[in-house]
Amino acid sequence: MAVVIRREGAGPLSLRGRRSSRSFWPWFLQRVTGVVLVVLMFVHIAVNHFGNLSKDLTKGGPRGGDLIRFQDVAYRLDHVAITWLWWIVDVSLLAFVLFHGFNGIRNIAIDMGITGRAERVVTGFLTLVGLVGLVFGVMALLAFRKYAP
Amino acid sequence: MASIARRRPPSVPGTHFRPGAIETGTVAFIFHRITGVFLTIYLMTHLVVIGQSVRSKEAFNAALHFVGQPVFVFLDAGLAGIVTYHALNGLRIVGFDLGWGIRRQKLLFWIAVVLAVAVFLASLIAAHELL
Amino acid sequence: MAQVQVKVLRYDPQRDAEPHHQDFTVEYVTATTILDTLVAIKEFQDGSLTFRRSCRQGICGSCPMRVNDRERLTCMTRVAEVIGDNGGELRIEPLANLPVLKDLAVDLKPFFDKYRAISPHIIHAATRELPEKEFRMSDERTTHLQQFGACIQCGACYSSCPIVATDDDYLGPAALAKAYRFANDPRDDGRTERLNLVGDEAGIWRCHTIFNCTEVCPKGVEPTYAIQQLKRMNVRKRLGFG
Repeated sequence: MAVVIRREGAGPLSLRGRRSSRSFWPWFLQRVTGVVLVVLMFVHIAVNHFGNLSKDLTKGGPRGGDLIRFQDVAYRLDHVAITWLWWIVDVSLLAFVLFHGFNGIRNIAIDMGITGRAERVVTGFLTLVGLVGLVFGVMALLAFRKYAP
Repeated sequence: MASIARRRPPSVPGTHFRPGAIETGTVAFIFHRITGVFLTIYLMTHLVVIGQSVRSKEAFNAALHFVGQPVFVFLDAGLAGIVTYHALNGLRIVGFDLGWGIRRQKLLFWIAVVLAVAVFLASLIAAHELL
Repeated sequence: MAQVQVKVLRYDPQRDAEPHHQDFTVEYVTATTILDTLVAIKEFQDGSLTFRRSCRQGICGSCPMRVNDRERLTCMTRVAEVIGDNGGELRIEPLANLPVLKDLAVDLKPFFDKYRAISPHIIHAATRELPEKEFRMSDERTTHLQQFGACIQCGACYSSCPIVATDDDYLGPAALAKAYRFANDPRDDGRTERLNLVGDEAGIWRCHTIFNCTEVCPKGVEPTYAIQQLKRMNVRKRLGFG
């Protein structure tokens, strides 16, 4: 179907240097990660603060308060339920929350009117920080396996 | 009318958020942004704390011991309320994006606020019990 | 007759460096509108006061202004409604987010440029067969579209939007609501083009459902609702169903 579009008058100023469909996926993924995070966040808090799944279940004896210890986390990652599921949950949580948070900051920047080259610089910087956070977080998780008793 | 063409005339000053006419939707948006920025900053501190595991078992336990102090536990209660508001308002927004609840937007906002306050108070009580 | 203190923002580009408020005292009764007070000031107190008005019955869209920080169509808003029972002050300022030309008149060019940018007219494909009599549309569809066609292009929504305030390129509620009105019209063949246009960095993705536009629209257009529908249509198009 041949469509003839006639645009009158001055060219649409909104397309001036901003025309891009790159804006759909950040918007869409912000929602997807947000909804998934509601679930993952709930699991994360429940496990660490209420479910006591992190506590060392093999040792009896007194414990110093309800503080989570290194051993508790290492135990959960290695012994509780389907262990590789914990890895998926924890790494997903990390990746999604970093994306969601830094994409949010990026949104604030774009709302402030940052466009063109400056916008690409800001996006690049935030992506870099996010990736550094992801690598660091995974290393932190691996440390529980590395130093496990 | 050369003077108008050459000089860019001013807009009304202080226009971003009209001081005398803030509506429910505006407040929801402002809170969402503020809680979002706060949570991103918190996230970075959280990574630093938990990331102590990279150094050693003792470093991790020491870090958790440090943030186990009463002041931090109470701050955690505030965090719980903030996360709840951001999550529930976020779901409110996703609802709009799916076409739900647009005409009930104010009610949904208040539900988010009430539940966030409830979670905050419950967490305060839990913190008090713990300490 | 009661009296009200009216604070009007004045700006004459050929004389003033900055806008400033000027005080007047005006008498009013229950039925007096804000526009009435401005006309009274211009007629009896200061003839240099500049503002736009025409139909004085809420259909031409000439007279929206910021009254006590809130966008109002001044011909349809009563003084008593705004200042309450205890006789507060009436502060009248021009619409925000647009350059002030003089006193309460703003330059609407950016607003109308964005409006034109979304091609606010029916677009026919060259290959579309025109019906013999009329295009048939269901009652529901016509009623639905009527809401978004009710826009009088007054600019109140544009003035109230905080995203328009900080982002010069954002299309704004009026243009986007009108884009929806046409994208949802069965007689229109430009849907894909329109969705691409509003699915731009400066289009619907910048709306954060703040709802200011919906609150201030004097005709009940609900631009937020229209923009949300555009987002849904765009998502369906991107993900490949619909």
